[in-house]
Amino acid sequence: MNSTKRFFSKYLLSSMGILLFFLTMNVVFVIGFLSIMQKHTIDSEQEIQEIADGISLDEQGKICADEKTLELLADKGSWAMVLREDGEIIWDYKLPDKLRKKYSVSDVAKFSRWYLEDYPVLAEALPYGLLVVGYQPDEVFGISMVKLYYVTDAGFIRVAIGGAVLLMVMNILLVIFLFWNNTRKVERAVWPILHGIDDISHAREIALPEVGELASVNRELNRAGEYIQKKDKARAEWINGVSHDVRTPLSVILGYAGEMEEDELLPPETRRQAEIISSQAQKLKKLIADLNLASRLEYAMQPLKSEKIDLLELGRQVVADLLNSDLDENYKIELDSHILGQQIPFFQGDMALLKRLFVNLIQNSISHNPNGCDIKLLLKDTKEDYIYSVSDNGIGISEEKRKQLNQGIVSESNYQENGETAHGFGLKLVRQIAEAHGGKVCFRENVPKGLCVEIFLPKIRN
Amino acid sequence: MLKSIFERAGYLQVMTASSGEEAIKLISGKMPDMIITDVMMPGMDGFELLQEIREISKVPVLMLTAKGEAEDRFAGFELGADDYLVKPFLPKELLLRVEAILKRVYPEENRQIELEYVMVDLDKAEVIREGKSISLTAKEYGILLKLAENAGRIVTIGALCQNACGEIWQGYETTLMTHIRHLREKIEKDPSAPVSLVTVKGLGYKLIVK
Repeated sequence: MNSTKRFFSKYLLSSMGILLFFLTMNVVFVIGFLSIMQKHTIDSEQEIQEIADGISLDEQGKICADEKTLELLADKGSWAMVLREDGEIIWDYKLPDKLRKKYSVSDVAKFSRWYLEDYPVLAEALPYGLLVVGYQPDEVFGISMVKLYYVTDAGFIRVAIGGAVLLMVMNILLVIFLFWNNTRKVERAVWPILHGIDDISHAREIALPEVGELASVNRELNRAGEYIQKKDKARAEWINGVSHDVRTPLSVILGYAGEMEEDELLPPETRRQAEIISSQAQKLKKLIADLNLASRLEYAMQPLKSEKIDLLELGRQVVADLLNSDLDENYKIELDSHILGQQIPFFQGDMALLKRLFVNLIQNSISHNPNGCDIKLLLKDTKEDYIYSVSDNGIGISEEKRKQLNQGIVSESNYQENGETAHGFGLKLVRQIAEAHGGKVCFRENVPKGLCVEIFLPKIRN
Repeated sequence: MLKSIFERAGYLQVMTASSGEEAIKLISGKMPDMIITDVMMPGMDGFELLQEIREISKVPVLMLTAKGEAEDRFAGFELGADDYLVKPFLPKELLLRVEAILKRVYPEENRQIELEYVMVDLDKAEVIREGKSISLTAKEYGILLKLAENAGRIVTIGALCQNACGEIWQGYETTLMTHIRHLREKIEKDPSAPVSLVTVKGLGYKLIVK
């Protein structure tokens, strides 16, 4: 179990690892982004100060800017002007024509906070006037960044926004991928186990690979499967053994009872009793044979022979055997194949088992109708199946019981009052044999009365 | 138990042995007409006993077993058992099988069956009708023999086809009907209203012996 714990803590750790990795990656990205932004950003205070420093009043009282300042201005396509106290322009650099005018105090107050005709501007007081620097209007968001404390390139902002969207998308995709991958790993480890559980519940053999972190779980499952199989097999073998051991004593009972039956020196009462012993022992014999075959079929211990069978001949043999075995004259058995065409109804199957199936069905009809009945075997040929039906005109069975039989339930109510089973192993065996041949059994009402059992034998078996 | 069954059935001398070793001793004195042995015995089992017997004799052997599985049955037949009977069985069943084996192994002289209108000599494969003998073809003989072995019982169409046509018998029903018609011409007074070789509708044929 320790390794299983390890497996799940590993899953937890890897999930946490993914989150951590994700966080780190984003932090790195944001830091990188900020540092790049730094390069593209100018502190507005600093910039205006630099420009202001580069502008001076010469000896003649004329204002001039040094080379460096002009370069700085030209670089960003900016313009600059110096206003006198009264609002007149006393110096300018690349000033747009529409701005060439006298500025009132209220104008100054407005542009120093906001814009001057859409140009974002910065202002700085000089000893001889007010320095105004205008930048190219910035189209991002329709406003300029310049009015903030930092001045950032418009182009860079576009890139930055695109990058942020991309980052977000990539983040989402990465998270999905990593978690999916992590879950897949768990799934891959757990899937065979789930399969194994399914196999066990369907009583199939399992053999899971006992490797990897979940090896111990697989091992346990394998053991559980083996245990169940072994138990099943032991049960089938036990039934086989018991039925085997019962045969010899039963032979002795049948032998002596048969002898007593024939002994004319014995009183008739004793002979009658011997006859009862003999007939009950025969029932026991059949029951044991059915029980053994049913258990062998259930645990697939009975190898199914596959030979080409003429279904019509099969029916003939079943009926002929019964007729040859001194059947009570109250019972009439008939084989009807008139619906069948000229084609021989060949079927690939186990002759002995199929014979057993029909004998059981006919005997079921006989034992259910102690006062006699007519039994009919009818073979039909449909596109997919051969349908063999065994029907009688006897007392039939209740609808409830029919439903149960169709669902394969052998309930306790099937035990008759005299303690004999009516639908015991005989019918269970019918179902098992039909299913072993890929077919199915259907119990229905016979018209006008009686029971009709249809055996569907598929021509093509999956 | 077997001893009393056979003695009651009219077999004159029945000897029993309680083990394989004892049986060998017994038969080395006088070889019986037939041996019936169980498979499961203390010491030497039935198969071993059968091997020993086969080394010295071809006497028919019927094996009794509690096992009905095919492998066991094959093993017995491979070693040369004549028949196999699975326990539990009815005394009548055993007697019938023994009789059948004995009939096969020690065929009687003059195997004749008497039908309504004719006598059939199975040894010569001919029908004696009003003092004249009519010979049977091989296939007719095969069919009639099969029916005679099961006289009074229904023999299915398939079983007769197999008997007359061999392994691949399926689909020979019309051929069989022809043979049956020829047979009837030989053994019936009125072949279209048979009384000896009767049809059992849908199943097969039955031979009624007088």
